[in-house]
Amino acid sequence: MSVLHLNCVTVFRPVPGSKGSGNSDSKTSVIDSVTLTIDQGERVGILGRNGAGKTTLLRVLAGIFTPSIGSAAVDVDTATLLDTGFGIEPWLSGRENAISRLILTGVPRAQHVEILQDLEAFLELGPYFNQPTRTYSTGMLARLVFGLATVREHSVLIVDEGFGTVDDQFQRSAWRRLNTIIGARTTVVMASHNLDQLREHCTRGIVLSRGKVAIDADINAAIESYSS
Amino acid sequence: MRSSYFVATTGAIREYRLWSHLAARDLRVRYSQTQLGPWWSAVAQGALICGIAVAVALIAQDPVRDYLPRIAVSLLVWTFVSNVLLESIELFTVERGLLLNTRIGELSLVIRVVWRQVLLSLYNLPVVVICVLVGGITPSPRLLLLPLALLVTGTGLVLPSLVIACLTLVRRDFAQMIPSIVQLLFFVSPVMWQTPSTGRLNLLSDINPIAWTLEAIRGLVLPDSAQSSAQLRWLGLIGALMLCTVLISPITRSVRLRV
Repeated sequence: MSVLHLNCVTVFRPVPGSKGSGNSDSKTSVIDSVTLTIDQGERVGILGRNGAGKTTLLRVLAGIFTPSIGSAAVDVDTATLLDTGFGIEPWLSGRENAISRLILTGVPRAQHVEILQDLEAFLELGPYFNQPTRTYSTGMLARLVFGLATVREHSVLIVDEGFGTVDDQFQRSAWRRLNTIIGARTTVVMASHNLDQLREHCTRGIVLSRGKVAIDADINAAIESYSS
Repeated sequence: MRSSYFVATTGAIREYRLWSHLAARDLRVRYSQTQLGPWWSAVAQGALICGIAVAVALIAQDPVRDYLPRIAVSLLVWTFVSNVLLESIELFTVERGLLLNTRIGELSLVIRVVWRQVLLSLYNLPVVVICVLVGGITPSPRLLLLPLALLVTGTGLVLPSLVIACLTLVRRDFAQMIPSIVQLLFFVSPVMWQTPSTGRLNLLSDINPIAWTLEAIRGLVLPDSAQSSAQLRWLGLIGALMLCTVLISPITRSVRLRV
């Protein structure tokens, strides 16, 4: 059963005219006529050079960007790990930020206490959990952001660039946690330059080139083709 | 702004938990680790009302208490309107994180700004009530209509705020122009002065929606205030706003791709 379906999707990004050149605003296609279907439980890796359109494609799949042309059928219950710094208020504590995120992601209030206990145990921040997040180190912030994005199981998980900003130990712990919230029926779509990570966690690979799908195949075949 | 304004509006209504939470969180963040919290806004409002009332009374050589009620109500409304307009500048750029990481509607972000100012105005209300009482006006149930009046004004500010947020996203020149325009509006609106029945100032008030709002709210809560009854101009304003909103629709559809 398909959970994500893009039908001939094109996304135009407005490009402001440069100052003094006399050029007016124009637009360029970031994603160009992409048609793809992702089934429930599939693990899909997105590959492509910088500017190939990986992040834009992820945002269309997450329902954040609306296609300029074409249509996108996306799942309502989607969790995203796109921008690690998003939504953290430096003057609020880790706990307050967590509650805010739960409200923003529509988690019912009745589940808050249980989720917060689980989160506190995973984060291992100790008393810092109740301190303003402006006192956190980069690693602690990354841990909090990751923990917030993975508070419960979702139908679809969309991950951009893995968790490259944190240490190896945390990456291992992060993947352990991710595996606990990724059920057998969870669909995972991740974009990364880390080919080993994609090979380990994905079964299907999509290579993007200048906004178009260049290859859609088994992950090993996609990586081999992309590397060559 | 996905496919139509109707969809955007119903989406924003459905997202009331989000924008009301974000607005309350904004106040917590803004006043975190301060002794008075949002009551600082009331302190600032009180000081401003007293300062302006004293200045106007000195110029007119009348007792200060004669001016307190009118200036208190006027400043409450003006502070509310100007803050909403100013905080809409580059709103979408400021909220880039939310726009690029969540499905929250663009209209919900605009309503969040308005709701934040409604909440802040509620802290300012006691100051206004005190000024009205000091001004010698007998407490009347009509004062209770003030929060409702602010709510109606706030609803009317959603479209102008959306227009400002979109314009400043497309052309940053607008972000430089709008604060000056708002400042100018302060002087051409009857905040400190009373609208005369004839002359140029009267004409100025006739074409200024903020003047109509001030008159309407003052008329609602203060006795002996002139109240405008020209519904036609309100209809004209609503029509103009809707036309503006339709004109900027190509921008609103691409907000997320522009931020």
